[in-house]
Amino acid sequence: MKKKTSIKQAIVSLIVVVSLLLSLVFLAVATVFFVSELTETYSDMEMAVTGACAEAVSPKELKQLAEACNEIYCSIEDPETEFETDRETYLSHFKEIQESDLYKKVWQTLNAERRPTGVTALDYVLIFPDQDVGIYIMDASDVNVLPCGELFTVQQPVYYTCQNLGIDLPGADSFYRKSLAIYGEEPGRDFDGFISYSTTYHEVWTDGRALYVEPAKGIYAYMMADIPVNEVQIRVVIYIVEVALVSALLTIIVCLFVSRSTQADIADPIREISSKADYFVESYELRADTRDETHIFEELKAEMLKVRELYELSRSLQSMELEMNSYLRDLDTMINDRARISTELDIATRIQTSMLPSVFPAFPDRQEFDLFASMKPAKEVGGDFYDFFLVDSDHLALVMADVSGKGIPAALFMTVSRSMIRNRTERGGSPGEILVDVNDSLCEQNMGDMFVTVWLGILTISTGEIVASSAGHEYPAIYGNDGRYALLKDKHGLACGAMKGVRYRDYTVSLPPGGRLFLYTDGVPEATDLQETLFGTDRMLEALNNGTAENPADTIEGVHEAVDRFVGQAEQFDDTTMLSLWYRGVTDQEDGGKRMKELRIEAKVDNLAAVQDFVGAFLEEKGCGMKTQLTIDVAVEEIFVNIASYAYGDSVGDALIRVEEAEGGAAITFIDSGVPYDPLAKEDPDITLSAAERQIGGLGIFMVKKSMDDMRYERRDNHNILTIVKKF
Amino acid sequence: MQIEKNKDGSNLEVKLIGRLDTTTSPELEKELGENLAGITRLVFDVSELAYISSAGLRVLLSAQKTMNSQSGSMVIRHASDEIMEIFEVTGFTDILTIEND
Repeated sequence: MKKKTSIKQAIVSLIVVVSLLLSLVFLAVATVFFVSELTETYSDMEMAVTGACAEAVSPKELKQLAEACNEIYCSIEDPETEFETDRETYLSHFKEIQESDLYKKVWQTLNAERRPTGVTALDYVLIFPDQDVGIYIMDASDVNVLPCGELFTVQQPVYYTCQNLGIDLPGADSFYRKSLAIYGEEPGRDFDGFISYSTTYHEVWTDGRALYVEPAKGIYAYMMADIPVNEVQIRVVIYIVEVALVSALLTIIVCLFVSRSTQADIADPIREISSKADYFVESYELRADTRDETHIFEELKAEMLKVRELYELSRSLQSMELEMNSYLRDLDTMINDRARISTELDIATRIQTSMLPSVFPAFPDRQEFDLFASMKPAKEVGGDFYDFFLVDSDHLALVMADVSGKGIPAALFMTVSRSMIRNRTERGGSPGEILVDVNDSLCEQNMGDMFVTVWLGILTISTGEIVASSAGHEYPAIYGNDGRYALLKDKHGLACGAMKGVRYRDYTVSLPPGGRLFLYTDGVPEATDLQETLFGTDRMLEALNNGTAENPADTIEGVHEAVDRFVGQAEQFDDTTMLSLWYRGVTDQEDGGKRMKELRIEAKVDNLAAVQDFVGAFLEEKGCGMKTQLTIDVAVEEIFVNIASYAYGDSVGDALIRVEEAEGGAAITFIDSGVPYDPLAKEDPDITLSAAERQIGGLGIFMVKKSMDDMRYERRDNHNILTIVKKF
Repeated sequence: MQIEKNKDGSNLEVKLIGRLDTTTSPELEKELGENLAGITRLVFDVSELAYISSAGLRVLLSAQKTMNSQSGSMVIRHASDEIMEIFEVTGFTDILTIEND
């Protein structure tokens, strides 16, 4: 990783750069002002000096000197050439004046006046504007004193100055012209601010005061003061160096201060927080094991954190630590809760599944029907259940139910509901009556406002007739003679457990031999795919009708597969519970061309109605009249009750009742495996006796004998076989 | 099976509706056992009795015996053809007083 700059370094470098830039700008601006101010000051000073010096000398003497020099200069034929080619000769013309007493006196006065000022030379000059030259009358200075008559050009030094400085000074030309304007076009006036060049002082700042002007004679005498430019430059440089030093010093001081305060107020606290955070992270593993509280960030003292943002950061970290401590305290509770919930769900699942009959075939000895049921619990256990049981040997109760809610409460409510329904059904009554009682009992004990939808049907095995009632449950699917499943839109009552005193209506539906019944809970039609589309009853019916099921188990498997295909990866939240019943009907056999039906039923008096219904249904089918039916009914009762009462003693056994067409009527055979008993062997009761003498008993069989056309008994293979025949 | 009783002093009229068979006759037997004390005239209206088996006959016989023992009378009224036939087959016509329209 690239090494990161510290906050302190960043801030210090920022300050250095900024102060450097600021200093430069400041310096540049200040220099410009300084230079201009300085030049002005020098100009003023020079003008003052020249003025003062000129006053020290008598104007008369100055005039005399100027006129004398002018005269000499004018007398020389070509002074410029002569000065360049033969300086000695040229200067010799002025020798006389230079050595005169007047000249020496004026020179000394001027020089004396000059000395206390900063001016290097005080020159008394003559300018010849028409020739752009001038001559020194005298040079009042202490070094390299120029002789009287020394020639100089005005033009040359200006250009030279610019070239010497290496600058293409845009204003140089106009500057020169300005100067020229002063003593060229309008000579005789004071002027200031031009740089001239002399071999002794190099660049020299020169100001001039017109002392004696006589345009008629062409005399323009000036007193000029020179200040070497070098001196000004040196002052500027010194000034710059001073300013630079001061600003550097200031920068260093500021940097030191800022760096110290950055270190103390920002860098140190950040480092402290960061190291604590590291420690906090390192101790995570340890804390997770020990659940110890930490007080790492609490040590961050407010006085240490002067910067508001850092103070806020420390507050956040402290509250995070508090949260973490309280989280760790809660962690154990949470873990325990999780475990408990998971166990609860486990228990709920076990309660739910263990309650349901799950051994198939459930009735291996019953040929009249076949059934299969399954419950596939969802992740969260619901309260679905199914149930089926024989109420008696001719009645099969079928239950499909769905408890509201999930988890343990639903599982317990399901247990209660299931046993209530089962117990109540076994006591007899129609499904509607049963549901009324179950509902009332559930309402009495229902603390959790739970309810259960129930479809309860009782199949009369011998006839295929189902009496059913629905407490808010899904429509059953019926497969009838048309060979297709269709929903039976039955009338619903309210779900059980919701409200006391609800009535439930019975309805009857007949399954022909080969008919089928499919029950399910809402988990099937309400299975959803990833797009939240419901499976729906249409898809369910399609799956039922398109399947190639050969038995009830296949039927359910087929629907399961269809649902699974439909939902794909989507998680299901409801149990899917189904029950499939295939009704084959009472064993139907062709026996010598005569139709015959059999019913195997427990020989107990309670089953009398079932037996009578079974026989009655057959007789009706054969066109037996009401009166004859009644007579046969009585006979069936007498014989069946006899078997129920005596054949098996105190225990209970089966009786097989077979009805068949016979001799222009019907033959009914009763077969039991009880104690041998031939009713025909019994002597008839004396019906001529008076009431007081009459014996109670034997009357029933006597009635049968009298009312039937034939009655036969035989004992075969340890079975009593009694047949009665009635013509109609 | 429905039993409608109408008691007027020592007179008791009982109307039987439905089937009087093995399962329902204990009910009638119980009713009579509770109500016959002090009755001198017992009338059974069987106009809406659809069915009677030997169990029912036993109850009727037993009622007749009780009435005999307390010197009362017992009458069966409005027996249908079917019920009448059973009475005839079993010789009950001889021991019961049957009044038909």
